[in-house]
Amino acid sequence: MADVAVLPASRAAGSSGLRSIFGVFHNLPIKLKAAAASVVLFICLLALGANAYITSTKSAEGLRLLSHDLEPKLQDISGLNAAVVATQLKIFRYVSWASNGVSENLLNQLHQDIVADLGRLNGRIEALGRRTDLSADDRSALQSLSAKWQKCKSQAKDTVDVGQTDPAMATMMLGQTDDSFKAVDAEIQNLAIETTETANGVRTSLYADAEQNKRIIILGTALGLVISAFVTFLVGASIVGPIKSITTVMQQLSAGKTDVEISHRERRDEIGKMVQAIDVFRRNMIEIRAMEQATHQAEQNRVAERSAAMHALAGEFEQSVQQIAKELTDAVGAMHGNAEAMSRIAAETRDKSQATAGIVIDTQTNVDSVAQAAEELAKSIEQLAAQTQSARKLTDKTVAESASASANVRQLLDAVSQIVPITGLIQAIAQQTNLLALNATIEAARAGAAGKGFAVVAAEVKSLAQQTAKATEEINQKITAVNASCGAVVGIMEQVISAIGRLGEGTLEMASAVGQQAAATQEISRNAQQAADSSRIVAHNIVELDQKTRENDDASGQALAGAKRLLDHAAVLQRQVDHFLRHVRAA
Amino acid sequence: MRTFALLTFAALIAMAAPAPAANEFGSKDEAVAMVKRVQDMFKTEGAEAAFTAISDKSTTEFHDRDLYAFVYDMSGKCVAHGARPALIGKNLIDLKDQDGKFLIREMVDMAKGPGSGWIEYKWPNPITNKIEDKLSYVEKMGDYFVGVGVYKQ
Repeated sequence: MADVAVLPASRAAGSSGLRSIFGVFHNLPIKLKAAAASVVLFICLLALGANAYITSTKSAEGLRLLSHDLEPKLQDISGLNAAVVATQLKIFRYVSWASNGVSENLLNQLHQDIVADLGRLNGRIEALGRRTDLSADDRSALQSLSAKWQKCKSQAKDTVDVGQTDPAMATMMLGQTDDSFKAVDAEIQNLAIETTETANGVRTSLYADAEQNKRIIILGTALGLVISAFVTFLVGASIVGPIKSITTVMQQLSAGKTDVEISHRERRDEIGKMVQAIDVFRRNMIEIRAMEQATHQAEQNRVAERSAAMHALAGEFEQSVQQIAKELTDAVGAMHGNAEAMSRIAAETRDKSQATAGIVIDTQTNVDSVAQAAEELAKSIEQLAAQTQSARKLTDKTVAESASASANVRQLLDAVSQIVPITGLIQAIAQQTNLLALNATIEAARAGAAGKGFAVVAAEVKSLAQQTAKATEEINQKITAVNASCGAVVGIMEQVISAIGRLGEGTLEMASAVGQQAAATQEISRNAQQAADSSRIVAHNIVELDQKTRENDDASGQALAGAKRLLDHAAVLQRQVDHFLRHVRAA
Repeated sequence: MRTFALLTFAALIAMAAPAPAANEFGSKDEAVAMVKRVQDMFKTEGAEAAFTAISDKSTTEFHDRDLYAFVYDMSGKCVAHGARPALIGKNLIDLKDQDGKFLIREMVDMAKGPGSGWIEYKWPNPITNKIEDKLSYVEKMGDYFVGVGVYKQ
């Protein structure tokens, strides 16, 4: 924090001007800061470009002047000079030829040639004077040249004209012609020198411009680089440094440290806004932390209260359990008695079933006797149709009643089969209760005040005792029903017997009347046989009943085993209750 | 002055010069005399007649052996010439002899200044057709000057 806060101050310590530059720069938006270096470079580039444009334009103008004006002018001038010298030489040649006997034909040709040359030279000089790129000096020099040329031309013409007829005189005139040619040459030389000097001036200026342009480019580039580097450094100092410090602050804040110092708060750019926002975060963190502490304190208080309440509840619960354990011991004794009673009842039921079976066997024997009697009657009861009809009805009734008896016996079987699980349950409960009682006694003796595990055991035992009471009641009812059913069976069987007896009497009465009706008698016999079969079915059912009763005994044994398992469960339950209580107290 | 000069010439001719008709080349006196004749004709018959007569080689009055007359105006233009008609009409003010002497200019200066006098220079001899040393007497004549010279042998 400190280094960043000090950074601008230490850098600006040199001068107040630099500091104010920094201050203004700090408050600029980041977008402008980022653009600053580019803008500086752009300005430098623009200046360099403008300079290059101006210099190039100047250079182009100079080169154009050289190549389009001065060089052609120089070429014209030197060409003129050469032509003048050539013409002069021709004049000399002419005079020489004229003085030395060259044929008139050749002389005339050369004369015409020289005259034409003089005309052409005149045209060239005039053309030079018509040039548009002439300076004032050029014009005056050309005027002088023109004057001298006119004289020279005139003298040259005179010389060759005189030469046609008077070579000696032409020789005399060569001197003046030579002079005037020299004067013309001198003027041409002056013009050439002047033009060359102008061209040299242009070249020198071009060279100087190029040199200056080179210096400006080097200087401008260096200046642009230095300024943009400085601006870049300024941007770095103004953005990167503060952002680093802000990053550190944010990291400390995210690590939970809220007493950090936040600098750059006074800046008016994005960094200043960022710093203000971070400060808001920091204050929020402090407030949230205070709120969290308050909430935590309240939570601790509530937990303590709840723990105390739980301890109190556990104490009460334990007391209840001890009382219930005591009650359980009593209940277990009662259940044991009940179980023994149940066992006795079951044994009685079995005996009664066996007795019923014996009666049924007797019934069967009787029915067999009826059948035999019917056989005997078969030969002599043909006339006893009505009696036989009656006998048939009776027999039918007997059959129906026997069926009813059979149904009753089945009912009895159902009842007894319902007894089986109940009896088993009762016996199991009885057994378990017995063991629980034993266990409770041992626990109570061993643990004394710490016998809290009895809480659940006692509840279970209590529930078991209630169930046992209910079951015992149900068993009593069912046993009564069995008794009733058995009585009904006995009654019906007696009715069957009496019906059969009446049938026997009826048969005796009808024996004389229907002795010959063998078929009827045989039918009776068959009916009797059917009755016998029914009796056998009854007997068979009774035997099954007996078997079921025996199975009752087996179920009782199973019930005892179940009671033992119940005891085991009770022990598990007790342990779980212990565990639960420990947790409750610990909470 | 002029009278003095004439008297001097006359004395010189009387003392030393041989008979004119006897010499192959014209003498200085004969040259001066020819100048006088030109002057007379110029005055009596006019410039045109005098110039024509001078330029006409058949006119013996102005053509005697190597003696002939020549007339230039003050700009240096030749208007009449007894030996070299090609020069008539040409301006020879810048004419130089083989020594580089501007002889026509000197003649103009002489005519404009003293009015007459002798000038020495080099000039082609019409008889030999060779450039030789020449001594000419020149005298102003109206807007012109007239001259007759002798070739130095």
